Amino acid sequence: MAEIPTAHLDHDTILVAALAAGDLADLPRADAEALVAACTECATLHADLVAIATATHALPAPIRTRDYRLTAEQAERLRPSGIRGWLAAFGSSRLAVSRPLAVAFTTLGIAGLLLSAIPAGGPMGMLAPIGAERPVTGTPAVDDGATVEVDGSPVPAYGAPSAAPVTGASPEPGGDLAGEPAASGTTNVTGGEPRDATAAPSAGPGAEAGAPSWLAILSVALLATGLGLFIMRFAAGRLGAG
Amino acid sequence: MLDSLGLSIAVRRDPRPVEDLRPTEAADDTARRRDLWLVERARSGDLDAFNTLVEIHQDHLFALVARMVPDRDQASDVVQEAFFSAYRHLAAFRGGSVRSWLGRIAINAAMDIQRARRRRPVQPYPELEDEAWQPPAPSTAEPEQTAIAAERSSVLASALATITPDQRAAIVLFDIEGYDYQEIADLTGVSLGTVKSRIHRGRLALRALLEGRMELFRG
Repeated sequence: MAEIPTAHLDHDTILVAALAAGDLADLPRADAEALVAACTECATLHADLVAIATATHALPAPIRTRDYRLTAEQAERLRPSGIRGWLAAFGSSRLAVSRPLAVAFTTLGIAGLLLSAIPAGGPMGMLAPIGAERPVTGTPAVDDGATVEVDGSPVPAYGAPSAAPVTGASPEPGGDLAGEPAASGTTNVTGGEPRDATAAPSAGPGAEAGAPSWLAILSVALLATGLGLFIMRFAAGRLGAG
Repeated sequence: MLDSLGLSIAVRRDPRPVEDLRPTEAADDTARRRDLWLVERARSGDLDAFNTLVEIHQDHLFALVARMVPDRDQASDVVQEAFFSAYRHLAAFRGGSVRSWLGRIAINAAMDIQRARRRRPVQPYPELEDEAWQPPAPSTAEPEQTAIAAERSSVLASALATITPDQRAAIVLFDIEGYDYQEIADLTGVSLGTVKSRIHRGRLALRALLEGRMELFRG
């Protein structure tokens, strides 16, 4: 058995508290009992702790001030049915897959769109020397110095000193540039055979870029799905909060 | 020496120092079966069945939470949120005691709000000064005894509200709710030793706070 210090301040009050709680056995219990037997203040502390535990157990229950029964509106909000229930389940934290899916779809969609926006020759194609073959968006490839006849009016072709972009529509002031698709006119390259712009997809790199690629379509679909998932989660969250 | 002081070593609530108001085993079994039946009905969308459960358990839950969260309005909100959560997660109920299940939900909600309160402490607990906070004593009691008991409860409740939330939760769950150490450890997510330590230190803290009023408890 441990020697008991003479001053109460040196006594182990935790040991007394453990004894009062009935948590001690064997040697520690014998030590605690010896301490309580030897020190009046420890004995008083022990008695007080027992009295406090008893009084705590006997504390009257606080009176409830509210009725916690659920109203029909609260019940509907907490467990919504139909599409609202489906949305709530989708947005709940238990369905943890919806958020990563939304992020993944959106990221893939954006990445795909960026990839599809790169010219057909790749990034290096942008650095190709003037005169070399390079992709031209919506513009038929023509020889330098050639003239292009659009709707019967000759205009300088791409690459000529006074060349202007030819979009397949009339470049004249007042001409309908925006509303007239390239396919509406026939582009006649001097010295060459007349070509129909609608035949572009299989005619060259510029024509390929004019039509939406499968990558762009897929990317848009992924992006739309991802954003849709985000919107659904947001709607589900609003539903839960409301 | 202990005998000379009229004291005895406190063996944990066996026998209970006050009248044991717990239902008997048979009644407990009946109540349990009734609760399970009500849960089943509530799961199938019967709101009245759930509200019957609320009626049965709301007093107990409020008493439990109000001890852990001394702010009356917050305690009330915690109980409401506990019932909301129970209704929302009826499908997650895996059987057993509905009372314990609801108690666990309420305790978790109370612990959450205590943690939030620790981050944004507010002082003090003015509602404990309100006499209406304490329930009235039985009319059959002697007026003097009634007054002493009310005073004792009041000062003890004030002291309980002053100790740390962890110590208070451990003492409430152990001394008032009757959970054992292991159950409290599971509920609060700490070790058995920590639970014991919180109870011991909490009682010592209470004793220090009640230093000048211990005559109310010694009589």
